[in-house]
Amino acid sequence: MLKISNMNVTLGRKQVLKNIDLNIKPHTLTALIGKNGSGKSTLVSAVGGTVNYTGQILLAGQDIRLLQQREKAKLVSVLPQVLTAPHITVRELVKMGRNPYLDIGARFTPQDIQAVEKALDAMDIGCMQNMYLDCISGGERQKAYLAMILAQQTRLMVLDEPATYMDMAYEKQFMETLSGLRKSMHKTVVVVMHNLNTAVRYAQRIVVMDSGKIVFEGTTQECLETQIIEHIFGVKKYISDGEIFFG
Amino acid sequence: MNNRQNFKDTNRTAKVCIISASLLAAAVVAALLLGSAKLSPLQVVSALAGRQSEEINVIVQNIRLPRVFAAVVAGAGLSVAGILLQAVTDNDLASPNIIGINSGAGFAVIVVIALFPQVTYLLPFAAFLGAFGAAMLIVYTSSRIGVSKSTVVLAGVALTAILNACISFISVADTDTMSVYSHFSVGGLAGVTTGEIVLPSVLVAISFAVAMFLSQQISILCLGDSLAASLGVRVRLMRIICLVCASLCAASVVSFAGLLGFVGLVVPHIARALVGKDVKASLAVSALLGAVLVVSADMFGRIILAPSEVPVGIVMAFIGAPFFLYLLLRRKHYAENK
Repeated sequence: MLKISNMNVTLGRKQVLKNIDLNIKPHTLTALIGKNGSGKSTLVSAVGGTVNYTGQILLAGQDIRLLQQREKAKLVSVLPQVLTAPHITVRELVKMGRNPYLDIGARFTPQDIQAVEKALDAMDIGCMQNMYLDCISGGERQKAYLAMILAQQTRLMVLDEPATYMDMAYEKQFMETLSGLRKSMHKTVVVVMHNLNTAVRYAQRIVVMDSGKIVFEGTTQECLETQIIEHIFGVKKYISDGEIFFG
Repeated sequence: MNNRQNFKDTNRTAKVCIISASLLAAAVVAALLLGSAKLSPLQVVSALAGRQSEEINVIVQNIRLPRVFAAVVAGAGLSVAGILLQAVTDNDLASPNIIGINSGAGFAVIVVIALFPQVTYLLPFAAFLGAFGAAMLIVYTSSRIGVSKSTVVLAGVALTAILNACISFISVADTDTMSVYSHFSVGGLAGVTTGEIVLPSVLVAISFAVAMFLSQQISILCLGDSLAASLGVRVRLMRIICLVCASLCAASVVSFAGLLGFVGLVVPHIARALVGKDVKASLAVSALLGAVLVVSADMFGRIILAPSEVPVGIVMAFIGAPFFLYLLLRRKHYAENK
């Protein structure tokens, strides 16, 4: 689905990403974890096309540098870490997700409206569609943005720390929604996460980054067996009621 | 939080547009009727058809009608420029005078006054070229740095400082230029002719049409550069197109109305307060309300000290500044309640 080969990113004089090779498997939820400053968000920005890189990023077999902006937006949606709260309604935001399919100056087709309705229903936010983004909670806003990228109807969704403003209950519900979307809509999801417990609970695959390099890539089970998380984050693993916790 | 603040009334934009258009129609009719010479509605209508005495025909056809039309174009043009500049910079303070467009016009005008004091007919062309040249310099400078929200504003502020320093230098070195320049810098519509406003109105109309055509893409810029790019918007290109359209609008207006302040700053705020951040709706409402504001302010300036008149720029500052403060106070109140 997404294949990154020998990618390097230098910001200013600092090399932020070094020789990144990554292969994201289709229809999986992959957690991208690492300490602050390890290069996770830069990796997301490179996929989003907002930072320059050397190397190659292939999306469904096509080099993303050769794709038109709108064509790329039909294949991958990227939700950055910092989300604004402009004075627009939730529905207006979700409608923006249809932009890659709209010719400039064109009106929304019935298919576009249907995609918007479907996205609102999938996130269960139909009741707040006429509410303003700057008048709802951070968690609700995050759901609205997720609905927007669902309306974008891409096969690959890349989310940079989507649970930042959520409490534990909301985060659990959000991750269950993401897992559900992966299964029901056959999405490939890459999520940058800080919460290690959530990562091992919901992700099928885990990518661990450290100092601009990928130090592990594999299934969650393989990740737990190698004890890479304990080594990188300096935490211990506990098992209680069959659930794994890091602390 | 009350529901009126949190929920959008979907018919609101249509209602606001109809009310604004009605206000504009009322302002235009009032501006044609009121002035130093008192005319009845019947006299105005028949003068428009050329069926009154020559004196009344001249007042209506050659003085009031071009002036009202100029006020409509000035109000709409500056408001559209304000909406576009504020959208692409995501900065509520961005307006033609903040990012250096007005200073560019002012600089070109004072240079012409100083070098060719006899050829006053060159002033509108100089104003247009100065304003547009300054805008293109901002586009070029910020594109060299990277056309981001902040670089456009910072490049504009820096350019404004340089041009204002040049204006001050010339006015100190050649004191005769000051009286002519101050008339231009205040902004006014006295003596404007139909011929002067034909080209500016065409340029404003083209810029408005392009902005409306791209409004869906421009709206998305409010989500931030990364997300807009992820949604397929060519952020850099869109920002440059908006800057060019805004510059064309502002430069066109400056060429016949001088440095009218506050319209490009205040009207976009009022429009957004009424219809939200949707660019298409706020462009339409801004254009209408900007026209209402300038037509009303110009009419007020004509009748308050009749037969003398107060330039529309001064009336705008008297009305615009307190109203802007009122809006800021309301926004603070809204934020506290939220």
